[in-house]
Amino acid sequence: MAAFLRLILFLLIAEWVFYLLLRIYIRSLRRERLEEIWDERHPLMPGNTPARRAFVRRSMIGFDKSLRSRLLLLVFVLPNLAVMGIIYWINWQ
Amino acid sequence: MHYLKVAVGVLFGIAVFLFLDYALPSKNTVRITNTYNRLTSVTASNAIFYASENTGTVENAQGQRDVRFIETVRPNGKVFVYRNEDTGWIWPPYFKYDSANLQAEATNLRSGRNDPQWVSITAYGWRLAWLSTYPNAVSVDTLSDANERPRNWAASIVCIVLLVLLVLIWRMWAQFQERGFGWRRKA
Repeated sequence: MAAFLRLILFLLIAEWVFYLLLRIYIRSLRRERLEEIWDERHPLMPGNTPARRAFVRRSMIGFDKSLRSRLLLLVFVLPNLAVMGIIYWINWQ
Repeated sequence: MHYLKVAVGVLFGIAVFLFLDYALPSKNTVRITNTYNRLTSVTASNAIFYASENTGTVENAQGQRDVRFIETVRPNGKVFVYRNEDTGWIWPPYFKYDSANLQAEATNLRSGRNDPQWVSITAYGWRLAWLSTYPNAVSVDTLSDANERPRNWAASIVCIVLLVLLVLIWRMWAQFQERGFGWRRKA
């Protein structure tokens, strides 16, 4: 039983680390894309201007509610499903 | 320095290959000839090739375990011996705790040379005779004849998932190198 609890603990830690890294990653991708959109719309205001920073900040509001951001929660689902699948295939087949 | 890097890279590649070769399941077409358990000494040199302690196989004070074994013959006539041990909830992540059932199935599928019942045994691990290590049998399936080679879906899927994860980590690494963790803006 202690081994089972330890498995759950390690799995949860790994999932949390991976979730945080993935979250930073997709937010970084989105921010980069928003900067490019701003640069396309305002070719006369090049570079990292306060206006562009404000635009990016405004556009990132609500990103946590987007589908892409919510799909990230699968990080907490898929590994657990895989473990349960392995347990089923190994012991009940 | 360049040659050192190449050498370290090659050694790393070999280590990854050996690790996957050990830990991933492999399938063999065999005929089961005997099943039994025997007191087996698990020493410091071969302990990592056996299941972790306290996962189901009883170990006595001398460090011996009563391990279940499955003796088989391959279609080419060579013999192959499997062990059949619970892995429990620890490494490697097979979460196997039905070795008694597996042993019963294997015993039921024993067959002689004249009336062979070919089976496919899925197992992970290596048979190293000089260290007395045996692959751990995970499951057994009946086959219709000796030439049947079932596809190893589990290992294929794990390899694909690992490749996808590798590409993802590589992309994340590149993104973080280019832009930091998000709070440092690109000029």
